[in-house]
Amino acid sequence: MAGEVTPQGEGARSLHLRKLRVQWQIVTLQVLATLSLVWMYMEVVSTYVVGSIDHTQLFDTLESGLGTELPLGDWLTGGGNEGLARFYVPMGLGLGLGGAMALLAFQTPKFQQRVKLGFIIGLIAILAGRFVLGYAWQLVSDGWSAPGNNVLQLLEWPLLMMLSFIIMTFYLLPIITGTKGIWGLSRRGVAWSIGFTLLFLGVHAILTFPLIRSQLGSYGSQLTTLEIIVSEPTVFGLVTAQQFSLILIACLMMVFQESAFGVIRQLEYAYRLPESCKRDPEYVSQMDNLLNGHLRHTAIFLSLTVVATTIALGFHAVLLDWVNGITGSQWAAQVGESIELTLTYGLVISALLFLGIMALLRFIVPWQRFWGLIESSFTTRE
Amino acid sequence: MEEKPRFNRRRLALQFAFWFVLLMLLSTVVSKVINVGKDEGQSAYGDDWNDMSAFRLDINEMGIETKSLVSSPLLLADIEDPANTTFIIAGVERDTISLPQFSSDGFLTFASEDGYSPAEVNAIKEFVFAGGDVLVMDDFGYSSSIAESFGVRFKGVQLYDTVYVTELDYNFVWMCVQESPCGMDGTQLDPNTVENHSRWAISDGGAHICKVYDGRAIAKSDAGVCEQHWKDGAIQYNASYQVLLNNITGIDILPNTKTGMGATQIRSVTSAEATIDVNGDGEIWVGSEQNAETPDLWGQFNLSIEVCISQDCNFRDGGRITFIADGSALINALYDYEGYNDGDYGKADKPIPENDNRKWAMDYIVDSLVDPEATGESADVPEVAPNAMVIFDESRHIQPSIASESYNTIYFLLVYFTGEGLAMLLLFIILFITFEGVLLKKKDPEPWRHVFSIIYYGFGDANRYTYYAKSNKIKQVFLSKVRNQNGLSREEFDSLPARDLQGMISDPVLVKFVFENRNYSLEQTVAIVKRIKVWGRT
Amino acid sequence: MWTRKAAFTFTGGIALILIGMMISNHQMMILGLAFIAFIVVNSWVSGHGDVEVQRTLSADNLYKGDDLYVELLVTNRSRRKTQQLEVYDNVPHEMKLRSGLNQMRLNLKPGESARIRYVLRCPLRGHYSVGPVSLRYRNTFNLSVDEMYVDHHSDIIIFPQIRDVEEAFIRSRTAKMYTGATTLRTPGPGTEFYSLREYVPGDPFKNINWKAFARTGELMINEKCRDAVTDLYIILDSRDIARIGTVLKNPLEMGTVAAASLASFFIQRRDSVSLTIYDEKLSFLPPDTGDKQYFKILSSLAGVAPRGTMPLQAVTNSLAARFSRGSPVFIISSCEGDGTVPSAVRDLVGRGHEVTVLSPSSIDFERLVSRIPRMSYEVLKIERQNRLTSLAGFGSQVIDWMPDMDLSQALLQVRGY
Repeated sequence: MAGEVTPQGEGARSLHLRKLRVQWQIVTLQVLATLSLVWMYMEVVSTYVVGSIDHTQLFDTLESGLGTELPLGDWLTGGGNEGLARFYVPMGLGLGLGGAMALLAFQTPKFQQRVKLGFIIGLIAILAGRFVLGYAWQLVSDGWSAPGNNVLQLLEWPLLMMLSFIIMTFYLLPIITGTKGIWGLSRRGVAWSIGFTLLFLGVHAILTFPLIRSQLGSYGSQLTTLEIIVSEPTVFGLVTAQQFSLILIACLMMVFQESAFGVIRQLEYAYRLPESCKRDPEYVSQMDNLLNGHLRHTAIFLSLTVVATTIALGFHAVLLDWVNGITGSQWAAQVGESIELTLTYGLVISALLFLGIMALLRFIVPWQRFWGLIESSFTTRE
Repeated sequence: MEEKPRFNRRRLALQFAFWFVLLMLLSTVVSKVINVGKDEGQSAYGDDWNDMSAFRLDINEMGIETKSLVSSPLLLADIEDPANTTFIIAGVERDTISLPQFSSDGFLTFASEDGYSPAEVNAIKEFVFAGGDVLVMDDFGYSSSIAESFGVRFKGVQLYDTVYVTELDYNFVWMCVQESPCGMDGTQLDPNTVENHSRWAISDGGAHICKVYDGRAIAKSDAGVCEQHWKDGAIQYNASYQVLLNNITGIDILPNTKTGMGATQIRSVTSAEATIDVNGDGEIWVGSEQNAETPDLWGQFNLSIEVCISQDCNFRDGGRITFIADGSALINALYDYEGYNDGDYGKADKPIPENDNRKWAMDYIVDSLVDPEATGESADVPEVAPNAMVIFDESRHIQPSIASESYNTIYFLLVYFTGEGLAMLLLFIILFITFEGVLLKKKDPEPWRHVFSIIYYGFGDANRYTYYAKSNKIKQVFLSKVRNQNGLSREEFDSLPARDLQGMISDPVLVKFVFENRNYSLEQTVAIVKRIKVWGRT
Repeated sequence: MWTRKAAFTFTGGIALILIGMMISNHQMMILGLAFIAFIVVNSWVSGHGDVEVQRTLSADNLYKGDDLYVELLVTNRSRRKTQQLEVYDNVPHEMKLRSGLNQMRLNLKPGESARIRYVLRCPLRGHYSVGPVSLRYRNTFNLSVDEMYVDHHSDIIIFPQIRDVEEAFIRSRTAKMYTGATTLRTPGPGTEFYSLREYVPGDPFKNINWKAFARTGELMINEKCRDAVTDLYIILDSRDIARIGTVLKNPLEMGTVAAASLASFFIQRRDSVSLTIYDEKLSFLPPDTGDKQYFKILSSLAGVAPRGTMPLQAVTNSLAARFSRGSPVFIISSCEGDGTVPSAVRDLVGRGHEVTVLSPSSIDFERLVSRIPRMSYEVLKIERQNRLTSLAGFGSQVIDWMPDMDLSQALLQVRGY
């Protein structure tokens, strides 16, 4: 139908990346991603690493093995502290490093190249500078000869320094790559962070598998194993504290992933819009709606995921109560006492059963209408 | 008009046949797996006369945790403290589900043995080697695979003995847990023939803990696990057991089997006049040798055998498996005969006589689960181990409802696929293929993008280019030009004498080209075409 | 529909649970459960495409090369949010997006609207349809995707361009043909009075002669003289062979421009113009004048596509009876691949028509897309000249129209060979 068509408008706000990056929804999502990354890291570390295979222990082993002090001070590595406190300073360093890398990613290629070059030159200078000077002095004073012991010793400090840094970086890899991913809008960074965490959990799981653990001897016994099912549920009467900690690790990982990827996805969309659309108030206001929706869903759905997983894990008790109540049967008694429940098989079956029922409820309970009712009561019809 | 598709009978019949066969196959498989409703009993969680609830409650009262195992004994591998765990198999009512698995030699097999698959038998053996105790009570069931792996064999056919409860019938046989058989005095068991347990009553490493504390004056509250033997301010351990059995079989020791166990000891035997109805015809025909005329057996048979890791079967080392030739030895009717006679488990047809089933069972549990740290030197009788546990095997009991059967089958499959080597391998492959499938097949919708494209094919027939370079065609075109230029019709032109035409052309080169048939080089042709082009312009 | 991510999350969840069981690892199992819970929770709420769409175009028809302004108004008439919805207006791929974007990612509140505005350039004539509107709901976490569409179309006709040919006709050496409007003494739509006749049902009331009615008591109608001098017949060759060349420069494309321009010029002079298009069949638009006829001609020309191999002789034979005596006939054809052209032209000339053959030089159009060997090209060209010469020989005006030649310029080339 032909009619009057007005050209695209131009508002005060636009969808240019530099403006969007400071928009409160984007920043909130990024902060949320960072917080969940840190929290997840702390949960993983406190569950599996601290006091078992943490970096301070590795440093101690190295120091006693090499018979020398490592150049990094305890205040930096967290050595001498107890528990999670060992990770506070390194984690701060990791966040700083990741942030700096993200910042660098937004500089001009020339500037980036300069910084990288400066870093490499600095590294070489620290590593070999004193040695080269010392050796040169030796050549000048003693004539042509192989480097003497005192000159070679000059290499020890930089090498140990590098080793310490590499170890620290290895431990902090999820934090560094994750921070770079979130703030530097790098999908690869986020994927590396999650991949590394999953890899760690996987390797840890394999190493703590009783068959393999027994083969590892004293090293194996050092690894933390989880004995979580046997104890009484304390969190909401559904799961044990340790189970809840594992649920948190899983869900925080998802919060981190979804917020970080969500930011990247939305910014990518805005970036690809033509210039006229970036300035169009229609696109700007819809972008607001999208980001608000994203924030809301991140908060609601991921909280619900925590709740659903928690209930699912505690569902076996409810299920058995029901069965017992309804049938009072021999089966309820034997399943209630079954060793499979203790050994998680029953737990998983009933959890999946619960999730299955919840999924099927979608077809019975009109969530959509219910949801719509809530939404429409909050928003005024235009 | 298109013909309307005909009603295809052949196709319909084929489809019907396909679904029928599929349904038949499926129902056959399902009927093998799911066996509902035949409530045969011997469940520790049922309250019928033929269940074992009384025994389980007694164990609970001793402060021992009871557990059921509804899927597969493969799970025994995951028990954290096997030394303080007792696994009780009472009546193996059903066969295992035949799924492929690795045999102990590493070959691929289908579970062909009765009752338990090789992997399950292996798990039970490992459990025993790890210090666990197992009590196998069976008669005509599917426990042969597990028995044979410990060097014994259930005969699986009914045994009759002269030592039976005459007021009931010959199916109710007395088992005296002692080295030599007990005998009858008329219609009653002769008390003079009743002796003591061949291990528990001997004061050596294998002695029962209550034997260790026998005769010590102890307050009842300090009697610990020997509370049932406390009498008049002291432990008075009585090691004689008259256990009442119902419908029994015999147990053979398989000679020269390598089981890795330390000792195989007979704990109870029948009288020398016992018979076995080998062909199960309900009649006994015995002779000096077994043949078609006299197929049945006669003599003394074993009713209980204990196989231990240690030579003296002591409770500290654990690792024992005890076989009883009757799956119903501990059912409520026999175990709790008083309750049964009082009608607690339904109307009793005939009263069950007093027996030592409960006493034996409790002493067995005590022997199995007493704190292994106990040395016998403490003043008080020790308690059971703090984390003592009794596990009842419910995986081979027929379930009362389809729901419980399905639930247990899911358990079984889950345990099988996450516990058995080949199944795990299979599962890994399935997971891998699924991932590959998702990777290859699952495609996300493409992002929308407007593509401006004007695809247009405006080519002419390129084959004609070479045709138009041929001298004949060029000649034809030229002649047309000549004709047009001179305003002649086709007929007039055709009838024109050659001389006139030559005159019209007037260019000798072109005249030659028209009238002489000869080959021209490319350059010559080009020159001619140029001439034709300018021809007639003046 | 689940996305790849959801499928991976689900299979990953199941795999983690099973592997967790295998190696007795609770973290794996719980991670797997959390993955599945995430999918379950997300399946509870989905968006919808229950929106009202209204598309406004700046014009329903326009000339080739013009810009079309489009506005798509998307309104959420339901009582809940649409959630993340991608709206995409399906634009024909022959149109070029000049500014704006024909899609938007939105999340409309109940009752909210969004306007998608974009500008299209239409470089090709034709009948087009913008729409339907595709909708794609995507879960916030990209776990599920549902595609829908709103069957809302807007039709548009892109006419061939109109070239100014007035100058060419003023300066033409053969002005005889283009005499301009003189009154024909035949009844028809016009301005001058012709005669009075009785009313026939269907006659417009405005033509009733009320004075005559008052006088005679019978309804009488004023009949007018036809204004046009000429019934101009345009015959356009739309055979398959007319497609040779590039998308914008080929005999057919040039032919449509010529036909449209000629029609425009003559209709403006209030002559009657008839259009005949022949391809695999024949379509004939009887001569008429006025805006309506002009629109009809442009619409027909917009929809012309190269196909078929109908000979010109067949066209002239079947239309001979309908052609007004002595009226000029414009044949727009490359005259390629049709041996009947000379005889058809001869017949028309023989019947007293003034025939003008406007012939786009097919071989030169072909040269734009194919590498023709020089010699073959020259021979083909001579052959074409022969053909045109023979047409001129029959008394028709022949115009050899080269690809880079403007229409008015070409019309000045009219010559009898």
